Amino acid sequence: MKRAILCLLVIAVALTGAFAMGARDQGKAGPQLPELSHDELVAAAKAEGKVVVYSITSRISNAAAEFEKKYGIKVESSNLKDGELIEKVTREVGGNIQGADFVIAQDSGRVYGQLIATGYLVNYVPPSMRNVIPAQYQNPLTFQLINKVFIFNSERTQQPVIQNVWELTEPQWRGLVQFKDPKSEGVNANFLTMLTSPEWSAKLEKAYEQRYGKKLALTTKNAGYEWIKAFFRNGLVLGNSDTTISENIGIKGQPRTTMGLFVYSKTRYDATKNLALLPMTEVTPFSGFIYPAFLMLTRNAKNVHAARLFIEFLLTQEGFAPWAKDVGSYSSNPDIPVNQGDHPISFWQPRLVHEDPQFLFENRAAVEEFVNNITF
Amino acid sequence: MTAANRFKSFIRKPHNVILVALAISLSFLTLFPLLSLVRDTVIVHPSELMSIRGSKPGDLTIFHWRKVFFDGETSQNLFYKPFWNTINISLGACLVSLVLGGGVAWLITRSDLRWKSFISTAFIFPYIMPSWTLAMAWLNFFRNRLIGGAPGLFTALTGIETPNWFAYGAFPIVIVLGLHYAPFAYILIGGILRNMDANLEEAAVILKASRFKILRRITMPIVMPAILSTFLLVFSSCMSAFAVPAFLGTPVRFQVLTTQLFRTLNGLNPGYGYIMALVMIVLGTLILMINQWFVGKRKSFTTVTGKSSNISLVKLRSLRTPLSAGLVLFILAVAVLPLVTFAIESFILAPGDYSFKNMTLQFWAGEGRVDIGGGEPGILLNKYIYLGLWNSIRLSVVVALVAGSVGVLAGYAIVRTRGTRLSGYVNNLAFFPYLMPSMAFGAIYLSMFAKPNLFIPSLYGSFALLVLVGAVKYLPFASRAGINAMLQLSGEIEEAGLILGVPWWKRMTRIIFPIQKSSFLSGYLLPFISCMRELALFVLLITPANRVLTTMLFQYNEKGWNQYANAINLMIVVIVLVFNTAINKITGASIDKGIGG
Amino acid sequence: MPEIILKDVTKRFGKFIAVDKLSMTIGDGDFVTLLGPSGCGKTTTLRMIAGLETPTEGEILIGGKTVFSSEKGIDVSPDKRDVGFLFQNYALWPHMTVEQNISFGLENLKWDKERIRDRIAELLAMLKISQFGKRYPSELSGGQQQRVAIARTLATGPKVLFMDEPLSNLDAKLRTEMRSELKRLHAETGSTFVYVTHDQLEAMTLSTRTCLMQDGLLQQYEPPLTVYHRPANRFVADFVGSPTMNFIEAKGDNVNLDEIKIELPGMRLIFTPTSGSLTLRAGQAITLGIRPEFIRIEERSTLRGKIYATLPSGMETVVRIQVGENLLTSVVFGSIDFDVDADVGLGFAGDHCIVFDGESGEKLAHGKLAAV
Repeated sequence: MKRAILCLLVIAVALTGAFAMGARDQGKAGPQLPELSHDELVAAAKAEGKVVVYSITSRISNAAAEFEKKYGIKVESSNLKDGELIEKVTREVGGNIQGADFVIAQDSGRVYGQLIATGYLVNYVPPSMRNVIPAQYQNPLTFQLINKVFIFNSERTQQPVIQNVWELTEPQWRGLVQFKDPKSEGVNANFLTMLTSPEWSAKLEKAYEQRYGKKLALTTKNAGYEWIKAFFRNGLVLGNSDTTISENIGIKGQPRTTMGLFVYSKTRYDATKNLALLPMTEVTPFSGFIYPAFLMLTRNAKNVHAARLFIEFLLTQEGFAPWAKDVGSYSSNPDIPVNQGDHPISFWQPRLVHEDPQFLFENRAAVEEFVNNITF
Repeated sequence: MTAANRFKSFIRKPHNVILVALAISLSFLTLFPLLSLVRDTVIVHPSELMSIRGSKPGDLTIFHWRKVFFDGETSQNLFYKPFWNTINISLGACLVSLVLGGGVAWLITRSDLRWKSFISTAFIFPYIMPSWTLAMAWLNFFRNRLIGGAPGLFTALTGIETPNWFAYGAFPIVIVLGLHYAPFAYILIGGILRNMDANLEEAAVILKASRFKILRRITMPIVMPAILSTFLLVFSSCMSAFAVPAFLGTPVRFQVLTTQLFRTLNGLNPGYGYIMALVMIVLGTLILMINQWFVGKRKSFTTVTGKSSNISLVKLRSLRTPLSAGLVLFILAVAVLPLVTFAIESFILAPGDYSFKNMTLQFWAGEGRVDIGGGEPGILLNKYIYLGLWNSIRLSVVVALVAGSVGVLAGYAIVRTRGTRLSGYVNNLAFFPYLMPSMAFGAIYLSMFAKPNLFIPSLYGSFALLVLVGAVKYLPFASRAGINAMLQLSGEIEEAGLILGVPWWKRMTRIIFPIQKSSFLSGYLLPFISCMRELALFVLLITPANRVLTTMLFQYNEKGWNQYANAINLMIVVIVLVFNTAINKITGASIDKGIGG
Repeated sequence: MPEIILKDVTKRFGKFIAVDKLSMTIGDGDFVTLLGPSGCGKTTTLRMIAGLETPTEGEILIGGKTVFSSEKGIDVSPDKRDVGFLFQNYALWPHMTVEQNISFGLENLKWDKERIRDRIAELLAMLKISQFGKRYPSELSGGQQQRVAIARTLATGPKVLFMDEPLSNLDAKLRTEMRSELKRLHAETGSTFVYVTHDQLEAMTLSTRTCLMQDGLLQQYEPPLTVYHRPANRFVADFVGSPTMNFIEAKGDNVNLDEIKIELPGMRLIFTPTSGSLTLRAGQAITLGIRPEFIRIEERSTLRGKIYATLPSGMETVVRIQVGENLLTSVVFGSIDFDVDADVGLGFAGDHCIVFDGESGEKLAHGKLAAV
């Protein structure tokens, strides 16, 4: 039997080699097609008759229904977690397997490093949008910005419960703060990573001095790491989903005021779920973070025209409607107004931590490891 | 005899042909993935570009091995702590399931317990139901405010806050896994007790040994080998359990190998995950070897006698009614109450408010509402739920047919050629997938079959891939059932047909299969049930077009849409129970036969 | 001292009645066999007396003490009944050596070690298995295992010993050997033995009294030779004895006083009861029972038959003879060989021929039979 096993091993090793070889050479043909007029595009898209999209937001299905209604083109949409989406696209485009035609992806660090740098995702800005969308959102094309802010249970008080993020490391907040597990969503890890950047660690250091009137004594590389460590060690509750966290924080009748850092749009549940949630916008040095969702074609897209048409649709007021109904979602198209009661991006920009793809790509792994090693 | 003639006569026997075919295909489907896994532990994966600076995907690296095993605190948190957590909860859960399952087995077979038929039927339920059922029920019941948010039913009813250690982490994981695998222990130990000659115990009774002494000096030593192998099987099942620790451990950051595996495979460092998968496989193999060594060393003491009806039952006397009633209540609490909580949770609108006016049919039959669950319609109106349901059933049926039939053939070929090396080899191969953690198995199949290879086209995203991975993963159940069935059947039965010139396929379909019908069918039933409730195996392989109920449940749960999740879970449990009962009633197949009780 | 009394003991398993209102007394020092075909309730009866099975109704007394009574709600557990039990498959504990198996019961009685050692040595010697003390049961042959089981049972010196088909797993030669061992054991220990078997030969050779059961009902409870010669009914007569008794279905009529005339094709017989007078209704259906050893081959007899087959076995010869419509069996001492279809004459010996009622099967009378 030993000999039999040996034989099999040899065969298997040979096969593994064959596998590995097969993975290397893929077609390099991206969807670099000639520009078409809108009508031509619609005709070509209709000829394709179908489009497949992976999205990190579940509302894509509502938009898909509208799109189907308008153009009669069938949409297969699926809602994936950010990491899942990246892995799927890597595998599919890398293996030249027909998957999505275009994606709505988030997590800049990974999207840049793993999907854009490798050429798996291809940027496409519809001609009609080139003069509408601000240049900084054009490459890669940003679909929307999403923000997560500090939100507290407003049953006892309507006043902001903290002024400075360092308060979250103090005993009175022990076990009362919730945050989505950075391992289950890349953007949360990105936020933490950005805090360790020179810019934000300096701001955090200053905030520390403001609060305590003394210099921060470092036990780690910089104030960013220091805050993360103290934040996590203060009984931080890690959740699996922002929905659950919003319910946990917002539910009435809790013995103590709780708060969390989660998607601003969850305040939309207030009425039906009988929750009490209020955001804070004036916390030093940041009130949360904001991150982009990208709208891009895959390199091996099959229904290129339908995808292009859908991309264009999503950038219009009509296509963005499923997101526009709520707060906390901001189209890259400045012509689409923000929801009533919400603030424009210009309001949020200085108050929130934003993503820097290059810095994230270089530092995210280290920060994740650091977070993983925080003991309690 | 010349080699050619020998070969000719070898190949003329159908069982040899089957054996060779199985040896080749199983090597390809089980050993080969293992090699592919090993390879995955030493190469750079696309998502690791961030961690391993300046590398290209596919480069060779020892980065993962260094990080997982030799990087101080990082290794501690990444691997060693989860590893010991895994060992500890598995040991704890084994203890719970052995004490509980063994205890019930003893009560059923050896005492005058009341309502035995109800207890023995309903006690199996937690095993038939998906493992996370109890975990979800635990959360529905005991989640506390300490972690924030809505308290569970228990707190809502009693006003008592459950402490953290009780609501989350090691304790509930041990209890829930223990409860889930207790029926497994019950089936295995009960089978042994039923087959064990009761006279052995009666002889001790006559010689004035106390009940306790009999248990300690006679019963225990005799069933010990069975208990040990139950222990090892339950241990390896607990070790590869994913859903339960994922549900109950995450809130307090309690990590085990499987949850680490899931996190790393879906995170920046899948390489870590592949190493952990490898560790789990090595552990599983070790366990199997210990088991075989032990079984080989101590011959089975159990003898089957025709006198089983004569077992004298221990009189529980004054304890009889309280104990029976207690057990029934316990079973109701474990098997029925979870379903009740799912039902309740699926009806409430605002979380944590269990008053009647807060009940709604929204999550079952409501039109989509933008303010709830992203506008999803209730599950009875949701076409994707029906798609998922159809996929689940279709997949489970096909997997059961494939695994079950291969299991029958494997059982036939292995038993007919018993004692030969090839037979032993195929036997071990057919059991090997049992030791592969489901999620790792899924991950390997994903990377193996994502691209077209040899004569196999790319199976990525295809239904066929799900069938393949399911059939291979559940083959151990089917092949065990097949082997057990064939061992009970004397070779002469088939030889009688052979002499009359009945062709092979006719002997299989007209003689062998009908005689051992219920045993063989059990080999179909267990893969079916396992497949219906499988999550970890498919979670990485599912594409939107072929999603199944369990992955949808997991998604809803991850999104925090508890009501949908509870409703779907209720649906899965009911379907599985209905199918199991129906198949059991119609064909006599049952999962205990499949397990080999 | 240990007299065992059963009063109306009944055992039901669901609707099935295993033992039906069984009443019997087992005297001190008796060797009683419970005999019957499988499923007749004999093992259940034994297990009920030992306390391993709980009767549904009735009362059991051992040595004057009530150990079970459904009315009084008494149910003494087996270990308090002071009995020994020898199981069919010996039930030796596979994980203990021979010595450990034997000492287990003594330990439970809290004997000191030395005494236990002596007792084991004594028993091993008595049963001629001294050299196997340190072995495990799986390393012994069937006969040796049987001896160990007996030693284990005897160790505590029980006054009552129950045995459930203890010899059925042995081969024929060993069985014969063990039978005499058991008989000696009974004499040596002076204990009461209750012995279950389906082998009538065992019952005949071993017991002082035989209890025959069928379908849970007691058929006859008497010394074996009485059972053999004066069977209470046709079932008993058929079950006991080998080769089995000849049964001839016929109609009988009283002729003269006390004589019964039986006419059959090829047979005209006269039965003279010795058990008292017998009056039949005219033409009453009866069954005539004749043990094979009472059918003699007599050349000059008027009753003629044809040899069907001859089965010589050395010491004796079984001859099957066709008489009219009946095929009769005769046992002849010594070896004779007849040609097939040879014409022979038949006669009847002794006064042990039985007349049963044709319908109920009950014994009506025994007596002499003669051909006319």
